Amino acid sequence: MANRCQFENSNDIGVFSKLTNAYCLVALGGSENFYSVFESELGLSMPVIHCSIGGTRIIGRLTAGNKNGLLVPNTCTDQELKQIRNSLPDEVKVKRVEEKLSALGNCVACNDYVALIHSDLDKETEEIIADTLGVEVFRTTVAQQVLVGTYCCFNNQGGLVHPLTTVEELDELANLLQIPLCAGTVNRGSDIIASGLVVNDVAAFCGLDTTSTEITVIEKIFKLQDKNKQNMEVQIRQDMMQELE
Amino acid sequence: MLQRAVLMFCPLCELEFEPKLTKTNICPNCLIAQMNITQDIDNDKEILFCRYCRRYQRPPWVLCERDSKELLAICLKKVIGLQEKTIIDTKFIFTEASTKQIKLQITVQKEAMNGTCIQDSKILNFEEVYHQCEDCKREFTPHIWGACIQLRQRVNHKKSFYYLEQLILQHHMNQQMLKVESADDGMNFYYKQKNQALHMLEFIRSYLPIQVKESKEVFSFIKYTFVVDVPRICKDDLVILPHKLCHQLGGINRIQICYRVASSIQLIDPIKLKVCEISAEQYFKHDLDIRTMPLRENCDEFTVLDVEKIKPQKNDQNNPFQNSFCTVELMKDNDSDYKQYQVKSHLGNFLQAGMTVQGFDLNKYNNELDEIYDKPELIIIRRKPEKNKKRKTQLKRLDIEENQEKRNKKKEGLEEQQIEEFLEDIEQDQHLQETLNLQQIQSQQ
Repeated sequence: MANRCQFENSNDIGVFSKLTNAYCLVALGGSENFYSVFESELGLSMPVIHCSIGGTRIIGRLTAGNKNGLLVPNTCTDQELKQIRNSLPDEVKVKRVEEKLSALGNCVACNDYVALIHSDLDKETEEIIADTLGVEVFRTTVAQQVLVGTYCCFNNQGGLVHPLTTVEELDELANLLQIPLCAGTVNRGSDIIASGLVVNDVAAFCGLDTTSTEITVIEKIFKLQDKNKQNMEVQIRQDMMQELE
Repeated sequence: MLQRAVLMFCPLCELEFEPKLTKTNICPNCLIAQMNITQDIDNDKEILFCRYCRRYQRPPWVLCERDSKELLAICLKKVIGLQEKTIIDTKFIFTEASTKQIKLQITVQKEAMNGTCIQDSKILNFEEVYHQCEDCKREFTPHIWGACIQLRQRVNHKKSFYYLEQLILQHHMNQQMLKVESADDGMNFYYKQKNQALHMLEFIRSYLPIQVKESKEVFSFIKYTFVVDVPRICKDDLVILPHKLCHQLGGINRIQICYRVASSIQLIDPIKLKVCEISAEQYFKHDLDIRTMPLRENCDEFTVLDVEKIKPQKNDQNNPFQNSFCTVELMKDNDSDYKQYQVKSHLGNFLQAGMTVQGFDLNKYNNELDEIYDKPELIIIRRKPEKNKKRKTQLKRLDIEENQEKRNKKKEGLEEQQIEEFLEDIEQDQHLQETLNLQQIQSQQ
């Protein structure tokens, strides 16, 4: 189910939060509204954790992770690292990466099986990613943009990419990722997908400006539709047909 | 093989479209709706319209029809918000003239951020607002004049003023005048400001010899009055000069003929056939002593029998009649005596045997000319003008107001006659024709 929310009046959810299948990171906000949205949806199944990276709140764009592990940039202080490590479950490996391109969230897009990385990332970093996150790593571009983490967003069921992606690229990516992909936008036509959207296998959160068309597309491609709801739809359809007859 | 394209649902309208074509994230219809290039073009504007003279203000007040190019230009100049846009088409939508609304449909094109051009059209409303233009204001306000020129000439006719009038019309000097009034002995010109009147005075000074006296009255503003005197001597007059003036001018004869009045009075001696000039200052010093005899009142007619040319003794370049000195044999018309006279004249080039000429028979006058010895018997002034000639020229007139209180009933028919005489005079004189450029007026009939 896709939910709409805002972080301190900003529609860029993906900047201030990180969502995986095992945990959720949330930035420290003025009020706790943002946090409570996540908690009400996910609180029972996974830990929702407050944190900061290098004193900043833009944790969604600085970190990359999946259910196996979490990578933080070198700007993260020791205290913060300690705090994160303590809060996360033991199965999740937390590692600090020494990398020139420190905004890991913009450079790496991953799910539990495959990761796409920025073309200029170090070989060393690539190995760390493969090791910590337990994924297959591919260097690609999305719509001729090197910042793959920004312009595409995917979970284990499907993925959303930048609207100007070519057909060939789409085919190639779908092949690498082994999941269906489609082009779309969030937040009323914004093409910076990952800043307006966080998604895992059961839930998705997007900015308040997202139109109903975009929500429909998101729910379809990430396969988030409620099973109960699906049954309800079928029931309604049957009732209508009976009436018409 | 079918060309596959990446399709996307438009976030605003759920329409499936190809984002690669438009290079935007929303479908073309939503883009146009969102861009709304016509939004910042102002809709209601006012155009100033003077209802008295039916002109639109541009800023200069122009006369234009309701669906014309000029009006389109005025409307477009008023519209704000047309920068960065190119105008593709404009069209006037029909509105009744009485509604005072002008509707213009305008189609503009603007370049969107990603290189595509968006075209949209909009209907603009213009309202005609009544506003009095400066020229009409001038006509409507009660004339509070600041300067007045009172032009006077103490003669029985107004030919000098007709002459001046034509000059004014030709040189368009009447534009700043508030009013022109006619008086018994002349005319009044009224102006708003002193410098306008001074400008007019300089103009008159170059065509007529004048003497100006200035006076002023002080109200909450100052009113200047210039009393301008024009000499009594006119063209074709016989002039009798006082002794003193003759000595000053170099011992010329007392009897002279005036052949031209320009910025000075130009005279020619009928006996010696020498020319001399009297300036305005010289005239007004001796104004009371100079006697004139106008041609119209005193003329006699003669028939030319023979013309014999004389070679001049001295070659005088200043004399315009240098080459036409002659001796003329004349016979007086209407005379039972058939007496023949021999007279020297300066009109050699214009006279032929058989012509009728006008001039003065000095034997008739006993009183004034007794003191003068050595006076000629006859003086020829000019050829007699043909009466029955059809008038080709029709004069343009200034808008002259009559001063109602001083109007003399006797003079009503006189004006027409004087204008006829004035036109005759012009036809006789080549120089006047050139100055006035009457040919121009002829063609404007």
